[in-house]
Amino acid sequence: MRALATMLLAGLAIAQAPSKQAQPAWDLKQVMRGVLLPNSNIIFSVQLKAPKNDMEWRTVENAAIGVQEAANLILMSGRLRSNGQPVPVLAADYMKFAKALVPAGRDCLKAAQKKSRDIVGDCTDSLSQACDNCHNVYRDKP
Amino acid sequence: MLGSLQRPSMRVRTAVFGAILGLIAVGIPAVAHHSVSAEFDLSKRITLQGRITKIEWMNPHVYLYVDVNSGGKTANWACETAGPNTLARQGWSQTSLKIGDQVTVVGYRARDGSSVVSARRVVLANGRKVFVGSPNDGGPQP
Repeated sequence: MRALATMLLAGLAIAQAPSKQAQPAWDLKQVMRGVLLPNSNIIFSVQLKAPKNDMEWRTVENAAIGVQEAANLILMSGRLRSNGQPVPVLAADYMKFAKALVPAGRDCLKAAQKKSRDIVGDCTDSLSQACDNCHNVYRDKP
Repeated sequence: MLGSLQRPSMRVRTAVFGAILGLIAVGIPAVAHHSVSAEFDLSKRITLQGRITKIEWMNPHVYLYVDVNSGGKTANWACETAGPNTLARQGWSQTSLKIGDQVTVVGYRARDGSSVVSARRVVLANGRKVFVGSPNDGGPQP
């Protein structure tokens, strides 16, 4: 009996505890424009103009980290698309597309750490492809 | 990594802040990774004829710059196409075009009125026509 009461109390305590799960603050398009677009553009821009010094290379490294981490952001449950529909975070293809940002960002980080414009140029193939694969299905189709 | 949905770490916040700084420091082209309809007016079709002055073979979009003579004046137009991988799948390579080539570009004007077009078709002097948009990018298809 005491054990049952203890379990009930524990269950109540858990039910009333404030949720520690992070909640999305912005819709998917805003995350794209606020996080992924600027970070990916920093990486893409290396193709046109190589960073001049360590500080500028560090900016590219940070952008690659931002791209990798953005995979988590766009897979957060509860986020909406700009049309008010939920982001399909459980759809297999969406998950696959989002997770492709991780190796793309990781490769770009390694390339930036090597301070090689050519190697960064190579990594933009996988980054661009990761973006396109998802856009083709979830952004551009009417 | 993908399972982590905690508060963004200081490193990630630094990455985003660095991205913003980087945009200023590195000088990002205004037209970068975006949907066709966001940047271009699909009701404003335009045909440009002229000579290629510059080619930027890069992700996420290849740019052809074309000098177009009209009424005794020459204007240099930036013609945005799909990325290198997509163009390669559609029969283009980095050597398909060269500076000085005469081309006809069919595309759609930028919403901001600048001399930038979303190129959908390029016709070479020998009559070869190539679709240069991306399949499923929301823009007109061949």
